[in-house]
Amino acid sequence: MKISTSFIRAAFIGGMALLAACGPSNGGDKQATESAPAANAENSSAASSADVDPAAKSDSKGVGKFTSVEIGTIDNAMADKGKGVFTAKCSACHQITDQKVVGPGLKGVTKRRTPEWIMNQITNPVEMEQKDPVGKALLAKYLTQMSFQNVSDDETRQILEYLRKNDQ
Amino acid sequence: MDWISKGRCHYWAGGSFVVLAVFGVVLRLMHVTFVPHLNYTFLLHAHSHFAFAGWAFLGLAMLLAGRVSPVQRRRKFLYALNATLLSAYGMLVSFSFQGYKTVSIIFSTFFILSTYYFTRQFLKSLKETRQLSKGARQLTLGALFFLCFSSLGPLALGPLMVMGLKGTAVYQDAIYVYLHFQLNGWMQLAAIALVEITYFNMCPTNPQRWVYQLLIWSNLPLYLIFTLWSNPAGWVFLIAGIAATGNLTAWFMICRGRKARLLKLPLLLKVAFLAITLKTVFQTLVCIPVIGRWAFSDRNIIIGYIHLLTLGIVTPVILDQFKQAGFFGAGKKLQIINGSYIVLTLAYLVILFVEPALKLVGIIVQDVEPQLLLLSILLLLCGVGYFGLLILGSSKKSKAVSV
Repeated sequence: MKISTSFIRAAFIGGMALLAACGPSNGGDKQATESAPAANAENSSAASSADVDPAAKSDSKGVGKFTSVEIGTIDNAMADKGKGVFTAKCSACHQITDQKVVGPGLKGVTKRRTPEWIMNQITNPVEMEQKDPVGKALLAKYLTQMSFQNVSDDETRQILEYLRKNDQ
Repeated sequence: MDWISKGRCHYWAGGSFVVLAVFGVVLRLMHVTFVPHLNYTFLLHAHSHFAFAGWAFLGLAMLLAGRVSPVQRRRKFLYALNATLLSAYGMLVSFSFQGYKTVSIIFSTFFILSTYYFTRQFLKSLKETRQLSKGARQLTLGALFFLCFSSLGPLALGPLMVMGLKGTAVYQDAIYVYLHFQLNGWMQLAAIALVEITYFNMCPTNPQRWVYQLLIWSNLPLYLIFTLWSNPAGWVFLIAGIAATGNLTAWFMICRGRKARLLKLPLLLKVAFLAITLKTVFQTLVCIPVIGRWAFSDRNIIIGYIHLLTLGIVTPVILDQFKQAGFFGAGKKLQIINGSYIVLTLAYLVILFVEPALKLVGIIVQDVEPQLLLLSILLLLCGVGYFGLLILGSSKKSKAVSV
């Protein structure tokens, strides 16, 4: 009896120490810890991000290096290249239909989101899901952090073209 | 072990394996075709929570209890196992329909409490009986320590949410506290402990105390490999690397003195030993930042790593122990199913790891999802086969008794 309770207690105390030690130290954490208060200040409460419906249309351009993306008529050659990149790097988590798997199904995504938002989400997913209201709502819904797949800016543009073609 | 089969725990465990495989098939199916009315995230959480409670914990815990239980504790062990079952099915249903909400949180908490209760009963039993060798004793205590320790992850989620840190790296890392200490701490050490008890008890070439201690406690800093995804400072990689190397060294030392005996182990256990070795090597490699960045960005590798541990280590050990305990009965059928299980698991893991590796050298395998679905269906059939043998095995036994 005595042994067992002290054993469990030891496991607890040790764990608290570990959490305390690791929490702040780890992390591209600089971003994580800094962004949390900033995001709170902006939105005044966590609830505001919960109010965002990820299925609804949004005009947000997101957070990242793409601030303005030119789009014209669909470039089929570029879309084909994008299909190759998508299969290699995105298809483990995303379908191009309505089917939700690990991440959202991407049918209609170019109607729901701005081109800038899509390209920022592809290249800067961690920051997007911490700071962008839609990104935060998506993380809250799917509970899985998307990770950057080492796609170049050109490849990112090709994926966008592929998704646009998919939504035609 | 008779009291366990009388308590019908092994049927329930076998049934859990089938249920798990069914969920695996449905999840894989959703990667291939549209399945209406089902929520992938909910089912994924149901699958993983049920795997931890209904299969891994139930299986390992009943086998460990079977090794030490003095008569007066048996009833209490059965309470613990039944509480586990109740929470496992509670989680399965509530996660499937509702996701991470009130009901599933209640059942998850109930599961954690059952593991505390089990740990307490086990520690008391250890005091009352002295059947375990020193090595097995250390490993079992280590496994139970991490079992309790892992619960800090989920317990921290509440406070972190209140602090407004939901969705941050810290929140994610708290979830990984649970995953790491359950998988690498509790499950792996408990599996090794069971093998130790069954095949290496009082073996003269058993390693020295420090080797076991290193194998156990290197798991504490090894937690850092689960934080490498967020690309932390260099020293985090360094400490994770040292921990992984320590873990690898200890595992190497344990195997070294036993070469001849390892070759005589049943096939399932050879597979488990190979899987532990591969897993230990992989986790050392991901501490090299270039490799780590690649591995953590690819979901198939992460899924592969988890299933290397669950399908490659934990499940073979439980199945072999079931056979040793006489739950399956003897026979050729078991060998055939074991063989199929090994081939299928191997194929499944090879696809998960090789596809990302080929991508590195520019070869893109167009679509591996149908193959993964097919393998998961065949694994389900294996599960049904095992369940059938559990039922047959015990009906034969009871016939023999009645004759």
